[in-house]
Amino acid sequence: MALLEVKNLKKYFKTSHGMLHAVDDVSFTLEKGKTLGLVGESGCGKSTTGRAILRLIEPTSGEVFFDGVNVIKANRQGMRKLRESMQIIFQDPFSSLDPKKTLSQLISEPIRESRIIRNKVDVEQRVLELFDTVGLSTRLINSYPHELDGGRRQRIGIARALAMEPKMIVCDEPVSALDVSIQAQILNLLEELQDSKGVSYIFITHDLSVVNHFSDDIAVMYLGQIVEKASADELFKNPIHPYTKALLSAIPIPDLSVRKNRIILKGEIVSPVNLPDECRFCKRCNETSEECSKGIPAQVEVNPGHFVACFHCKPAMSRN
Amino acid sequence: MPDANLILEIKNLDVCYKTEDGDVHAVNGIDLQLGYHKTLGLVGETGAGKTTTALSLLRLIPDPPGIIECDTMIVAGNDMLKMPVSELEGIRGKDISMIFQDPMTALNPVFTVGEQIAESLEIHEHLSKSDAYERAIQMLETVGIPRSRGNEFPHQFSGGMKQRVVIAIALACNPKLLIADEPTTALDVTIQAQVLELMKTLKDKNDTSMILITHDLGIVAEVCDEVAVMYAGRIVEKGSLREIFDETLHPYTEGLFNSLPNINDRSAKLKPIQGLMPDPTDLPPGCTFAPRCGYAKDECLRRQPRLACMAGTHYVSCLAYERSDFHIGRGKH
Repeated sequence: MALLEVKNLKKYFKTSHGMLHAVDDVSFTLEKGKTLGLVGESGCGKSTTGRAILRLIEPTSGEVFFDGVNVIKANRQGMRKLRESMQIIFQDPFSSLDPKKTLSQLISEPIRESRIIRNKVDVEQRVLELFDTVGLSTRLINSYPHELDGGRRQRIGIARALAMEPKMIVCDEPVSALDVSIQAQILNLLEELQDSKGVSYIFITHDLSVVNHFSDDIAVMYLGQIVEKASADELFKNPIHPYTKALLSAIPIPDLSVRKNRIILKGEIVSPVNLPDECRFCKRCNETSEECSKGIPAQVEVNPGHFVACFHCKPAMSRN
Repeated sequence: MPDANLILEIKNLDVCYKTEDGDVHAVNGIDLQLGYHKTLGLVGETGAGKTTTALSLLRLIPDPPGIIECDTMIVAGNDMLKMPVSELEGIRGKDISMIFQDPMTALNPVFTVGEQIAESLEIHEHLSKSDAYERAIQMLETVGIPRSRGNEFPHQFSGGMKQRVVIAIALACNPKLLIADEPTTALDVTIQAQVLELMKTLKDKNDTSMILITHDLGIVAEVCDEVAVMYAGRIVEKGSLREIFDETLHPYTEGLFNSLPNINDRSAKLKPIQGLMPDPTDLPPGCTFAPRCGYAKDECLRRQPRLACMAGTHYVSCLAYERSDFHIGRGKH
């Protein structure tokens, strides 16, 4: 059984202009010890999806099963218990830490709050262990967040998430605010933790080269919907949806021997408010036809495990 | 005597900010040259001194606390150091213009985009208000925005569109040198692809030289002819695009490449650079990269390397190359 199963998840926001479709009918599963990459551009609903799974924002409709438990139906008490196993690392290591708490207070807070360890000395011991796990020197234990650089702060964010020994962590752009050399340190740390603790990740990012390196499966989102979903290898070798193709072709590659044909998309992402019943991508698509404005395309399995939502793509067409 | 083939010639540029917490050595003795119609990529991480270098070319460093010291600074035939401020204003936006990183804050929220593009045309080209506005609208069309939107305000545009407006302002007076400071960092990849394509086209059309500041080696590979890699206010390696990418010499440049995920080999482990950039108020006495360098010897911690020519246009600042048998891991097959 999958660790996490998300079915027809929707999150709409009421705005003064109408209904904003932030997440519109998203389904996926995540296996234990695996990483699912959720990619897309700003405003595609990837962060909202991550938060709705943890019920940090209440989904409008849909179902989320974590370890067989329906997360959406859980009461307050049940949710507290569930959140011990599902944690989140936030994008901005500068605003996600309370500036008035020391690092040891920040890390011990979830442990004390959930009372998984009650003895004060044991809590301190556990904090020291966590410092060690994320590669921070224990002399920093009484420092405040402002004394640290971005990379170290993100390590604190990771230590906080790990404090509960979760089964799953939602990583919401955990390295986007960091320089490349520091980014690589954090990615390696997350990878080591997965190997040693078997934790599963939902890895939310806009950086396609990072997601390719880091994920087992990748789901590409556009305007609140998953347009293509496959294993990382398959998606990069055989992208089918026109949006995925354009997205992959737009990655600047730091290698002079690679020269590629760039697909330049028309226009920009449209507003997710009051969307018409048509393919969400048809306004910018290079392969659009009349059919595309007739409804929302359903996901089709073109190869085993490879799903695409595009009218131009039929299961039989997959071998072209 | 300035070299007529160079649009940019800087020798021994130092920029220091005098603050209460001590002197921040942002840029420490860098030399840069750039030929006409070429694009130079200035690469490095946060705090490397890239933006400070760019701002000092326009003498836009606030003084106090910033102090610029330089032996030579010739930009587009102008001796920037000797020039009085009143004359500088005639050059900024005309001979040299700049695209700032954040299109959200670079535009004035209370003027229409048409007026903002027309402003520099009125000042530098001495056009009448209506002629300048007409040229401004043409500029908007050049960057792919319909002329009808000229009388709209910045908040009515998306991030990508705003960056196009900023590009239109920068290119309105056909500058000889364009300085682009992380022009696409705030944008999504598909929009980034559009904007880079636009900048390349316009640059070729107008024969503009460009300095592109970025931390993204992928963008450098696509846009630049020459590359200078900066670390802690110094240039540690510079050369042609091919020299930097295919014959990398400096351990820091190698570290930058190794930190990037390889898109063709997902299983390859990332090899990050250990540690952090040094504090610019307290730079180490020897090589600034030595504390993080895997190849460092005792000597590196004591003696500062000089930028030395290794071959052709390829310069590197590393003591290890004083030994003839030294080579780094990257690029050796």
